[in-house]
Amino acid sequence: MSAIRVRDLRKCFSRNRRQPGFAAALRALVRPDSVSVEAVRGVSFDVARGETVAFIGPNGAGKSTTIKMLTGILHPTSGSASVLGFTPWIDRERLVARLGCVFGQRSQLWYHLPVSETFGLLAKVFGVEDAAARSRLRELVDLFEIGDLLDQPVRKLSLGQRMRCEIAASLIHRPEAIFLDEPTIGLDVVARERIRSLLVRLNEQERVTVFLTSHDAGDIEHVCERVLLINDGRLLLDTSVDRLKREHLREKLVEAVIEEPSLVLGLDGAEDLPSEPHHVAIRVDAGRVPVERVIAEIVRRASVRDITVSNPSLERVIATLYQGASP
Amino acid sequence: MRAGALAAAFAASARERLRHPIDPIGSGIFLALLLFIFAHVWSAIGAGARTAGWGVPQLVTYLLVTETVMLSTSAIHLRIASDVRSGQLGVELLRPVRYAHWELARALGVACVRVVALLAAGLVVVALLVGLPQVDARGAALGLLVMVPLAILVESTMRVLIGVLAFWFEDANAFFWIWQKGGLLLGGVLMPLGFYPDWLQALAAWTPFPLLYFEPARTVVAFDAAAAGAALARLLLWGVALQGLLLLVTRRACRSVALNGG
Repeated sequence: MSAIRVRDLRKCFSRNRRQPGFAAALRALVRPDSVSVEAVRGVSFDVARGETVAFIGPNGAGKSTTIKMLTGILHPTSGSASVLGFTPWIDRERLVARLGCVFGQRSQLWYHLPVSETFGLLAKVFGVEDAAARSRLRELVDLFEIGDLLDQPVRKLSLGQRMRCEIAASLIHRPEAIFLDEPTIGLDVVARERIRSLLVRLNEQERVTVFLTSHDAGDIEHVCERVLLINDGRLLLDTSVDRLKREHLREKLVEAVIEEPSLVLGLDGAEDLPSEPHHVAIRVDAGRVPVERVIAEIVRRASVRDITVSNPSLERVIATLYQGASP
Repeated sequence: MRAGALAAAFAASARERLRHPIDPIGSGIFLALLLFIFAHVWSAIGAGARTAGWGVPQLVTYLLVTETVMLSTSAIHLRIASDVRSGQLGVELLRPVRYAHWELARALGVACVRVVALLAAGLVVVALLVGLPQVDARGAALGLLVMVPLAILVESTMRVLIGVLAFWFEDANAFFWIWQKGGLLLGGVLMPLGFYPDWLQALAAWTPFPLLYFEPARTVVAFDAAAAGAALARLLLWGVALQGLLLLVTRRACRSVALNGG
């Protein structure tokens, strides 16, 4: 059964064009110059219950607009969507009672209040009984390791601490699905890793459907099993993370340590990268030249002490996809 | 669930204000300064002789009540407009309660703390400056415990309504400026409407402003049961009408809003 079902979803915004100058400002008062911008152009997809999906795309691709329509914040221009059985923009209040949302650059915590008071407030807002709220809070405190943060005002928390509290706050009412819009933005490596592990455990333990947008390939690789790529308002790719890596990892990196000070192969399909003395780094397009041939050529032309072949990071795969997707 | 959620928002908002008390303290200091200035102005121009028995203590107490209503009501429209511009509105809409009621509950939580601070500071200053006037206990109770809270509710409703206009215009300051100046002038915030020419009093009677400022203050200072009852009934009517208008406008605004940022 689908947790999210989207069909031909579109959203147009009307934007005023502002010309520079005093005369243009006066003209705009009488006759505003507006233009219609199509942010989302007929997106369709399904997400099963308990699935973990990354919704990726470059800036301005339409990710956040789509999420805002799926959470009922924005009304679409046309198309249909069902989230947990509700039409988001019609049944927003009933839907959000069963949904968790985290926007990495926004906060649902109350700035001057201790974290525990915001949790208590959210439990009341989402209609969680006192006993159930206490028990749920204990679970979340253990899962997110935030016991020592509960009495601190939100304004005193670090970004990493705040994000753990934000995600915990969004789960107080045991949502069936959670939307995360760049939940690791601005976090250091350790905090990012921690948030990812928490999301994986949350999905495993509670089968919460996770719908995540992020520019961080690590988030996608560690948390999600499926990727939707959107650009210029259109869905360009819908595949599993494994398949994405397999199909788009034609590129390999061959690195070797050699006796000679340097080596330039100069093969078609194999790019010699700058490297330190006695080291060789070659980016290989496996579609044009087999990796075995590159290795054989290195061995033939130099005395090799060590050699490794590695895949590029998902980060690079996504960067390539974004470049290919640019209109 | 909805009433419980709104009560929780009201209480959290009041607690937040108590934990960050610079705001009510600042309001109290401003009111004290205002009362000090006007007490001297009224004394200097001898207003008591011109206003049907209202001496300086009555006039200063009148000002205390009108300013309490005005200063207790938080600038909720500014926060709503800021939320629209920053995109924080997206988070505010993700609660299983009506957005307008949520914002109103938060505004009333702030007002609840401010009204206590303002009345406490104001009464001390009035007593020290001109002495507390002799007032009818029924009028003081009706004015301070019923009409002032109701006036704050109506004023807050209007400010949320003005804030919601930012869903279309991204800014609500121009609308608030008109409303606020209307209140200052036609509500008789700084001086009782009895000072005004007849035509201006007639004009004011067509607006809700006298009900928000003049009538609660007159009920405290110069209680007239019939006038207070009529004012209370009209205040209730305005409250109900504005609540309906707020829900209608918010529903349409939510359909039209275009949020900025990711």
